[in-house]
Amino acid sequence: MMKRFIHKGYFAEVFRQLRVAGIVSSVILMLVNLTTFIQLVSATNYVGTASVFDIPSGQSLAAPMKVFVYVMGAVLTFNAFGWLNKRSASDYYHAIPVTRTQMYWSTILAILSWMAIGLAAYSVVHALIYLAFCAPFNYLLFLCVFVNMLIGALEVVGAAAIACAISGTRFVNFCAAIVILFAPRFMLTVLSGFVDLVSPDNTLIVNTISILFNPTYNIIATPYAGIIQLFGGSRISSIISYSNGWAMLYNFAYSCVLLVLGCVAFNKRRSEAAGIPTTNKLFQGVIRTAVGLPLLMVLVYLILEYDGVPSAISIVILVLLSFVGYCLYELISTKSMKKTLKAMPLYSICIGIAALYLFLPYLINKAERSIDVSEKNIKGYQVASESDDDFFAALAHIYLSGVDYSSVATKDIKFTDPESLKIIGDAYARSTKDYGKDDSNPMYDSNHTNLTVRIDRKHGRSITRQLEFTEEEYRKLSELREKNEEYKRVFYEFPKGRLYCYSNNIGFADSRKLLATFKEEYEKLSNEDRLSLSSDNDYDYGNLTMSIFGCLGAENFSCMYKINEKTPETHRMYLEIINEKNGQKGMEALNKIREWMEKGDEDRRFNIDIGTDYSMEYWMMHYTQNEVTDKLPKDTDPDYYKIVKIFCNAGLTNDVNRAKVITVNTYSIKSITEGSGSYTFALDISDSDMIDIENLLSSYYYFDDSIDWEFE
Amino acid sequence: MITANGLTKKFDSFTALNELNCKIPEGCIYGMVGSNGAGKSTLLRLISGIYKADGGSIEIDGKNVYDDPSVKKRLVFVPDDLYFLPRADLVRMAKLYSSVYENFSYDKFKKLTATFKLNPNANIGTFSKGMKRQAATILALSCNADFILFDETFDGLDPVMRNLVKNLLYNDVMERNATAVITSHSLRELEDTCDQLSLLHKGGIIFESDIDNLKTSLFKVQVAFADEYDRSRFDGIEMLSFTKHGSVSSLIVRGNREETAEKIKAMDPILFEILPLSLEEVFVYEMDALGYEFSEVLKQEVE
Repeated sequence: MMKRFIHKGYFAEVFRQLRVAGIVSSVILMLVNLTTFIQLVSATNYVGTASVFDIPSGQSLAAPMKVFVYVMGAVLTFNAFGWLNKRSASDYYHAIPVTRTQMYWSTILAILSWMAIGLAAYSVVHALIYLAFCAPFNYLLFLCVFVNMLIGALEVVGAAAIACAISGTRFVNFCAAIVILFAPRFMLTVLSGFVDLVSPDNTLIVNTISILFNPTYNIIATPYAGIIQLFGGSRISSIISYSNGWAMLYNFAYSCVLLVLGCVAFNKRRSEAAGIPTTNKLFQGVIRTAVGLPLLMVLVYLILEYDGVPSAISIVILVLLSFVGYCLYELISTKSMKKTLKAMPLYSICIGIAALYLFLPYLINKAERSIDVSEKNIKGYQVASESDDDFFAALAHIYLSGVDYSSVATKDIKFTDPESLKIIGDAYARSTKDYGKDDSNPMYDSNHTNLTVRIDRKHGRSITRQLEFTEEEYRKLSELREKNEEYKRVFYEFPKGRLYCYSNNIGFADSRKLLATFKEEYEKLSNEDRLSLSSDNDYDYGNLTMSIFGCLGAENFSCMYKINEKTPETHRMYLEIINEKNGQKGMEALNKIREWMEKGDEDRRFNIDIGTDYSMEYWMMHYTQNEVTDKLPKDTDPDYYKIVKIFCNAGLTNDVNRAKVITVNTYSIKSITEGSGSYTFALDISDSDMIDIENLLSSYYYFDDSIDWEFE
Repeated sequence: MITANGLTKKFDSFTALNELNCKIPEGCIYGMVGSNGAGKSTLLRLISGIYKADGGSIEIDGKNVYDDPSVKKRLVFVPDDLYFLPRADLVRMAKLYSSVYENFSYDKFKKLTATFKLNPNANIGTFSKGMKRQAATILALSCNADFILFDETFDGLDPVMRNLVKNLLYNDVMERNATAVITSHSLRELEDTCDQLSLLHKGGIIFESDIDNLKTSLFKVQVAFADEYDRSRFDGIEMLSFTKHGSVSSLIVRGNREETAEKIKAMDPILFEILPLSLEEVFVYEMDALGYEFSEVLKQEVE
């Protein structure tokens, strides 16, 4: 069976032929890891250790890899099938006693082997870097990204293989591959963008309408989904969920279809087609049309966006440019003016498609809005706001290294109580009726709360919508959710999965101890106390906090807890750790700051974060020595100097009742590493001194939203 | 046996082969001659399974060649426009050939490499045109294929190498009962190499014959008589051409040499001589007889 598809000798030869491209690509892929290395080095320099903020997300893992993996796939494929473009080479290979099928699949296997080697090289180096820095790493997610990349590469290889099989010059190979790879998804993504554009309200989450509108279901789609956001599809996700098994399966099947089509085309390919742009008139027409379409799509966008006909000059320019591109492609690829002239009337196909795109978005919108989501037809709902299908939640994956634990852990819980379903039904009716897109955006309506829900209907498919709830509705819905035992249990439980704790520069070993102690204390608390400890603010000033990051399966999550009198043992341990680790160096840093203020040093910068029980977050920032007056910092900012002196005279303490935790950051503008440091430690400062500090600082700054804080 | 039946191959509007029929028996060296565009290379590419016929069929021992490795394994093709794998040396090429040709012989490969004095580890890309042709010949002969197809076999080879290749080809055909199909623009080149010869013109075989037969059945007679005579004196002898200068006539005769000699001797000539014809001359007269202008069919040769 295997022999029918793979010829060992031929595979070995192609593998050998690709070795230069394969080795170079693998080395480049390994070097891509430098970005990770630099990221971790800088994190280590800044906070003393690689931080949990560096837990890789699907996007951060895939981003550097993606371009190289896909380019590698294309380069290897064009290289391996390059002989199809040269007559003598084509004749040579066609004379070899190996079947076309064997030839094709052996070549594909050789390409994929090099891709796997490149990806494996990347992965091993990547994992080793994380291991070397003792940084947390989500192996399962990484595996998912690896598989996704391989599937994506498979898709690129399939598209490039088809392109090589149906065309006979490098130029057309390239154009054909681009069209095969991107055109179908591009057109779908443009359509989804237009659907979003003409949507009269924000309830419709376009990505959830169909898998064809969801970039996760075509991992190659990401780059231009980003572009579509600029053209009206502001809520079209360009973010891929790498742990979506169904999407992986879909993408794999799609890649397989491309590869099989490549095989069919390769089998039909004639040796004499080498050097001829394309022998397939239909496909030549498809590429030509694809070249002509993008600018017409811009025109459609302008019409849809401005609800009317754009200026005549813009129409003329766009159509003209599109037509020129269309003809130019034909001329370059066929080198025949006669064929170009013959193709000109067929430009009307481009116009026809553009016309279709003017109406299709409205039709889809109408169809989606006619879906029955009345209370009677709702079977249940799930909170989907943190789902990967949601653009905003997906964004959170990038910026927050994961969504919060309860969202991840409860996302599959379905709520079916009639009261909730009524609220959902009412909210749906109101959300879709009350607001016009332009006159009111519920997202920014302070009297309402938006929640994205996945609605399971009794008749028909499930739908995901962003609904707007009144405060009363939202509160009621939350209460009703808490009546669900499973939800309640998960909501209050201590996060499960692989956990990493982060608290200002204390390192991973100490973080683990702290985490274990906190967990022990947390589990003894009542639900009420547990809730009071949970903090949903990244900048919860005035409280000691610890962040917990983790992975539940392949999904990252994060949550933040306060450390206070409810967890005394954790509090004490935390103070011990920070003072032992940073106390001495922190005091030295404070004395250096004092010295600098007394003697002056243009190179120095510092800030002191007093984020303790006093709920203060004052930053003291000095730039250079006052050039106008030539005065020293202690004279230009005497109050700062007094505060620094207070800190310098205070001693370290581990007493939970007296300790004031400060963080001192010092910088040097001449060198990244020299004189730089960040130290969090606990000082024994009397209450009267603390009041003095507060008064001194308040004369400089007062909290006002209008102040644009400038930090260097 | 290679059998072509109504073989047709078109390239867009150009018909390279037009319902061509031919049979190439096993164990012979079959030569094909014709001008540029006559269809020689196309026919070889169809025989070797590179091209798919647009009409008719090409079979080797009753099997279609196209995309059938079991048939392709039995033949090896050396094209006029040689191709070698990028940056390959002979050893690497041999490795590929050995993996696809079951009968590939490394011993023979080594012997031939030594005979041609080629460095098997040198990049073939650095070889001269003639050396590349030698390299291709080494590889082809090492495959021990039943059918060896050479397009413009001797192109780029010096006379010594031509003879060497010819001898190697003879040996292969003799020892293994292999069949060689070779093409050339040059009749002289094929004259002393082939057993059978065909002439291709405008996509068809216009003439095909056994070389020995060709040479023996067609001959030149120079004859003179004491009395006045004309063409009619030779009635009963199949003549393709008759020219008379003074009392001496030159006749191109087709038929049995001895019988013809007896007939003429009986006429009591004062001068009588039978001369052999070169293959080119044979072709000229045969073409004339068929109504073709030889210079048109083999322009280069005449020029």
